[in-house]
Amino acid sequence: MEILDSAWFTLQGLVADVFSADWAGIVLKFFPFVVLFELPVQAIVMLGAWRYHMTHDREAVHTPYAPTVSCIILCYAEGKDVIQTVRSLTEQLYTGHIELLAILDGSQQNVETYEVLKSLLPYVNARSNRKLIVAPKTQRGGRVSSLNQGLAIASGEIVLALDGDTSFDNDMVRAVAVRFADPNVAAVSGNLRVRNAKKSLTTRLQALEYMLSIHLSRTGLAQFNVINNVSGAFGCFRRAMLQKLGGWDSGTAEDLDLTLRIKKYFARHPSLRIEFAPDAVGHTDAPDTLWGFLMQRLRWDGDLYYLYVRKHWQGFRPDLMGWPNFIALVWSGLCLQLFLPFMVIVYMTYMLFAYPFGYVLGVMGFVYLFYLLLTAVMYIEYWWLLSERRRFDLTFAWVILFFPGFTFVTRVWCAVATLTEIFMKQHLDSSMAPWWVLKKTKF
Amino acid sequence: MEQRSAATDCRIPAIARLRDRLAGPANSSASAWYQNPGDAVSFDRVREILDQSQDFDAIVIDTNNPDQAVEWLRELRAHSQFGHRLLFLTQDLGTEVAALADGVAPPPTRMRTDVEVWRSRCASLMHDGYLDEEERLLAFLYLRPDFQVHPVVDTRDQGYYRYPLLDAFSPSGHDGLAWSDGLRRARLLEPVKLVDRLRQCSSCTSSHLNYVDICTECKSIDIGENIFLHCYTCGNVAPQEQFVGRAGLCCARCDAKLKHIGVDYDRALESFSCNECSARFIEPTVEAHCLHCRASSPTTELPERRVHAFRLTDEGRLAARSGSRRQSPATHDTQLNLNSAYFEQTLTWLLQLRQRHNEVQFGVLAVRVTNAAALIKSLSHVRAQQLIDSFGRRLHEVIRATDLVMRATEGEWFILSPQTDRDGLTALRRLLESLTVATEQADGQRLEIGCADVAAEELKDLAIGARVLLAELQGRTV
Repeated sequence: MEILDSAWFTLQGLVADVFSADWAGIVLKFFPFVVLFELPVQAIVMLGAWRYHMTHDREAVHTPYAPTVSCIILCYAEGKDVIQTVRSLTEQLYTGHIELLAILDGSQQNVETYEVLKSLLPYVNARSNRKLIVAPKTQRGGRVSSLNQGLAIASGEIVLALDGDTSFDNDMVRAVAVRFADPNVAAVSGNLRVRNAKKSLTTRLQALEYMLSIHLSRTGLAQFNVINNVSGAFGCFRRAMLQKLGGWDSGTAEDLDLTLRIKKYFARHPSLRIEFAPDAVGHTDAPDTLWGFLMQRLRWDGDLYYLYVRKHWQGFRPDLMGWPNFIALVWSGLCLQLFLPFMVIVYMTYMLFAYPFGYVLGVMGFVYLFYLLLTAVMYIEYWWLLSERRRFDLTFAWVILFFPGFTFVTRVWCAVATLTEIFMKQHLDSSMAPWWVLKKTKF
Repeated sequence: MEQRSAATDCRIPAIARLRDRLAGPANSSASAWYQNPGDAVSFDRVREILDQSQDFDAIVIDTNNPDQAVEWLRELRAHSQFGHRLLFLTQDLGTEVAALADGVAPPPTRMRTDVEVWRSRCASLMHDGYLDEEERLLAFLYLRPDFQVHPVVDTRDQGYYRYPLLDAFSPSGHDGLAWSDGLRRARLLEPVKLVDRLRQCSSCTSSHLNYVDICTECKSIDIGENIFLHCYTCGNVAPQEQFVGRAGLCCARCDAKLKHIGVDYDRALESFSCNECSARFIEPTVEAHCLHCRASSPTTELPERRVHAFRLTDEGRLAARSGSRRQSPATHDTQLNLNSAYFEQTLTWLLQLRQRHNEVQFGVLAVRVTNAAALIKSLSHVRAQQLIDSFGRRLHEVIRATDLVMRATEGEWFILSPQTDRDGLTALRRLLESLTVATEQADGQRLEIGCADVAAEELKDLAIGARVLLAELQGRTV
């Protein structure tokens, strides 16, 4: 009881300080890292999103530019789920030609997926502007091998790398293609939503996270040409650019790797851009249990260290990436994503030892309130300016209440992932490719 | 008999050359020898061959014009003297010509052998005197053991297939196709190979049908294929163009944005619409429209016609040798109708028996379908034929096992009933009339029959002869 009283007292005091406008005191005392690292990034994101809203014409999607688009669909053990992906690509409103390259990794063990894909051939090929090619790879080679196989047979000017369990809105290709009308656009990141958003609280939280960290954040970052990643489940590239880069590199996190490699051209070619298309929407399934989610993040977050520190450490130079991307990467990639989780843990531990527990709880409650407010503001901006499914997104408003807690768990887990990667070389044991393929990587 | 004189004559082959002066030189190597014919006599017209007194074993048709060849071949095949002669070509001129001729002229030595074989087979024909068309056809086929009567495609013909050989031999106005049916039923010809299966118009038997998809509601042919979308929000089903807005798909009724197939909307099962009655349907109805009589029929109700290539049966060979179908060893046809010769012979025998033994009792009854023409007009040729055939089959079910039946024509039967008196005949007549009740159609039309009968005790002149008696009864059925 005493602890709770103490916590409540502390919280009240801190809130009163806010109203007495002792800003500097609170800021420096409790969350200097928030002020230094997080707030500037979020401010840039929100400003960018506002700028996008002011400059983007939602109706201007009709353009005579309609090049052939090759969609590399990475199939593995999706089974019947791949039908939805192929159907959603076949039924695109895009007037140009769409080539669907279904690359089936390990067709020997994934017979069902192979049969499903073959059964779709007449349906797709009956359409005048659509063509489905099913390319089975008997021996499993992993994602990168499938992507490069797809690139080898792709004939379209634009190549889309898509997951076999991701389906798309019918205006997706149109929205992507229109971006490539600008010859300086090297890649376009697609917008992802959680398809099974309403399945559990975990998927709801992830759905909200996708809205804020993909839809809102990338819209904002794209305005300054500093997009952090072009998602592997939904990435769009100019084929000429991909061929110049030699395709995808082996190893895990091939999406982030490719993004970084494209960025290394930015200093010499300042007009090159990586765009984000908020109106090109893909729907993907997220893990529906907390454990599944943590396991996914263990892989993703571990890959950050592998990519940033092990593989591309030499490339973190402004004369390669240009100053904006260099700063963005150091700031958000190294500081926010790799360094901040450790800071949080260190700070928490320090507080627990140095202050009474009730006091710590009060401070945490205050921090929670702060993040709640920040999330709410971002959500409102997202909902107001960007959401294309407002009614649907509104049903996620109450999830904001849990979101700061979710973010906290994610942050702490990120530190665990980084440590796992540092000490156990997690990237060499991924489900994305067989071990004998991953072993070939130099890093 | 002409062929007998030719066959018994052991002279060298007499060959005529029928030359088309308008045609260019023949280019076939097989006919090269024939450019310098030696002992062959040349003619320019068929009439010249027919008019002159010399008999020829073989005639070589020297033209490269298929139409001319067909014209000459038909003229020769129809002729009572030259119909079954060896008629060679100088080159291959297509299927119709091949169906009428004996192939391309072989080299001189081969031709000599061919003629000798042909002559010896002629010698085995055992009849003299006048041959009718059917007998001449049988003789023609008998002289060529491996010959097959092949149908040829004729797009101008209503039935799509014709038998040029049967057309050439058949009496004027007689349909070769129907004739082949009769010969097959009489077991004189048998199918060797199924060439085609055709669907026919149920009204006029034409095989020129247009299969057209039509509206399921109003049967209009003015239909179109369309993509229909089904809005999941409000259930609206409408053509895709009604959903297309500037920014994407949007339901015209509930204004919902349709972004993701399978989630917000889907393709409706309906994919056709009628431009006349605006009906929407998943699959159109398919109907067959006859290009000749314009009748429409459901595809499931189109009668099938099987087109075969035929050859002579063993019975046909024997009938050919004896020179008369009446002497065919086949006692009855496939429907158990007795061969006319047997029937007549049995009747003659009974008549003669009655002359000597007054107690011999029998009755003869003639049955005729009197409204065949009206049925064909109101139903269709095929349907009317089916009705008459089924009556013919049912007829066998009501008579006694010891009664004999002969089908004189398509719609005419004679029944010879031993040990039957006037009462028995009247009862039989009533039974036959009752059979027609089952043939009643939806519009009240039915098969109508006329009967004429005579019991042995009613015959005044027993020496009248079977043929005359039957003809007399036939006359009374009208």
